[in-house]
Amino acid sequence: MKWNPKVRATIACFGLVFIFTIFSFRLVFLQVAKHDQYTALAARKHFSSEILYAPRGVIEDINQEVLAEDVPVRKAFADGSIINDPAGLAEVFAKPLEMDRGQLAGELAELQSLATQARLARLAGRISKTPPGVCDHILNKDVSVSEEVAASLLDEMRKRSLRGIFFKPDSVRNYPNGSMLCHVLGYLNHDHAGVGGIEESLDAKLHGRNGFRYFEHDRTGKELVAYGSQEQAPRRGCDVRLTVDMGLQNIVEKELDAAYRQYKPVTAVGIIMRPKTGEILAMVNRPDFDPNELSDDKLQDRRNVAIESLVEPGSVFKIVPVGAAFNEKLFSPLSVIDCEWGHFKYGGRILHDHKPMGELTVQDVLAKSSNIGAAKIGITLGDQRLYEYIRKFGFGERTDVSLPGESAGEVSPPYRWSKLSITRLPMGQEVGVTPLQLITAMSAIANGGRLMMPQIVHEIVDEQGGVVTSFPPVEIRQVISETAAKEVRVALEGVERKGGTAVAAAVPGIIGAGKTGTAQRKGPNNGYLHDKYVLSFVGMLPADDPEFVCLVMLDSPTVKTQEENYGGQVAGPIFERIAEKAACHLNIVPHFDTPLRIALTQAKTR
Amino acid sequence: MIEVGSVTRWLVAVFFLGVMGLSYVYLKNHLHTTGGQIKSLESELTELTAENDLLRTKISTLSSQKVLQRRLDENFIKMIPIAEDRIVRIYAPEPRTGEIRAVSNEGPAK
Repeated sequence: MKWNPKVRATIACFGLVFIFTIFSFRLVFLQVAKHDQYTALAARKHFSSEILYAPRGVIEDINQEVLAEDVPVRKAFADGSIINDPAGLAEVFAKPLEMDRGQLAGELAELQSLATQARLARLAGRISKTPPGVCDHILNKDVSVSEEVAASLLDEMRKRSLRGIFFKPDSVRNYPNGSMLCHVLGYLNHDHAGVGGIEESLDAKLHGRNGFRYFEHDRTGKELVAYGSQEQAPRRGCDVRLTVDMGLQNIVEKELDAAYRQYKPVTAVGIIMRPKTGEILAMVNRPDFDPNELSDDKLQDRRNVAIESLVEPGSVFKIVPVGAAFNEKLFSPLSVIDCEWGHFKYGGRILHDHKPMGELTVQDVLAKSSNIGAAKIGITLGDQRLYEYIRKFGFGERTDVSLPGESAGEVSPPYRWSKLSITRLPMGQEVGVTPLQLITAMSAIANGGRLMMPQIVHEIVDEQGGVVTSFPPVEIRQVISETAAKEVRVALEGVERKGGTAVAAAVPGIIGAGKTGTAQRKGPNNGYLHDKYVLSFVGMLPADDPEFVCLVMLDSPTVKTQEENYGGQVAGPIFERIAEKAACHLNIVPHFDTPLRIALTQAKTR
Repeated sequence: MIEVGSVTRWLVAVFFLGVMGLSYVYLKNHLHTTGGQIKSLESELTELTAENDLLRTKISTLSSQKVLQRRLDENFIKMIPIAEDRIVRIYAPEPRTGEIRAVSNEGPAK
């Protein structure tokens, strides 16, 4: 064959056709057969998604004072694939991230090496994508920095031509009042989930719905807005408005703090409740904690003793048999009971009073807190009736307050009682109650015999301020008649009068009513400790139409003499100080037949 | 000889295509610039929102009971509690209708 130009041209043409055919096949193969694979690859390279964090709802008090809110911060992450100088980055970031410089440099160098290995493995086809954590490795999850600090650090990085650390938006929960109301509010864990208090019980409402942003970016990572993006805005969580009044809370906190320092009890509790609605206006526990600065060494301090701890209530419980007896018309307030001069033999055991007393009216049984008088009332009521009234007052069941971890209490049914139980229960032994149950029962007395469900949440409000859920007062049941409740209230007024067990609990200018409690602490082997007492006082103000009920309870306080170890001596004065300030705060008008406290001031002349 | 009509038609077509091309480039560029501006405004808005949140946090912290109590204890507003020895207890007379209330009861204590 002659290699003339025509033949050469023909061969060249065929060659070109062949080459272009191969190219065409390859193009068709890439565009059609491998379309999905390469589209996905391109999307991975050019599309990014970003989570838009939804702020958690705010918790407020009844006057809309902020108690818990989110603060925007930034969390530092490292991208091993673009780190260029681990030592330089460590120099800039070690201090703000509260890390050791050498440790941070080592961590970044290791990440850089992992990213290189992953890149090689990907090129060799051993893995399809970079392992998680190499390109977004969180640096010290416990530390976040403010927006300003993050911006200045990024500036410093740019100045030094450093690469490899970036910030993601995050938030931390801020509790402006620190430890105040900490047991009611609770706190958040590392995953932003509520632990304890309202943060836990209303987590689903407080937690917002995160949004997202799906966008295309160029080679440098800059967003290409022109090509559009998909975005769903985050939805902020609902705000929770509590029934708590921080003015009252502050009063109780201060007084209980002083008592905690003075008497050094194991625990101390103070609660104020509005009896007509069951609203909790203040709830304080000691010891406490600061939800802004949590440490793992004092987990015990995070217990909400007011709803979790069970105690034998002591004499405060006498309101139950006396209320029941009045309701059943077995006794009237002026019925006389022989208190046996402090020696009452029943079931083979002798029951004592704190001091010998003869014949007392039922009113005086409460005012002077006679155990024998209460026991005799219990015996007259009988096992079944007494048990029914104990349950009717709400003991032995959860109050269903919107706080987690509430105890139901311990009330044994009559078939499990011993022969002595009928004399022990009326004086608050052989029964386990929470401080919240106790104040709720006293509130029933203050509220004409109507037992109200304790409320700590007033309403839940959405982002626009619309009410999502409101919590109207819930009447559980009429425990005793209005007349019987009034008779108990009148009898309880005697507790704060001369001859009563808590004269020191009387608020000058306002007639109050209340009941002391001095319960021996249970020790090992089901016996009682002789030097450990739970001292309490539960009172109401004003007695004729109570605006609030207040409970003060101290577990095992340290007192100088054994004579001081009574509820009226220790808890009574604390109640008086709280109640006086609370009355002022709630603008309760003093009565005119009792002495008034007046400040000596220079009189204005007109 | 040049046919004027034909040349004109070509010139119009080329001009039209040129204008179309330039418009496309202009619009594309405009879209890109506007996109950048939108992004920048969005970032600014996010920063302002975050700044606003921070300021709100500062307000709620500074107006919290705890801080106000501390400021009060520091004698910031020059208020001092009335000492026990400056308080007397008196028996107020039974008020007649229309009589002014005792001084201790004046005004709500908020």
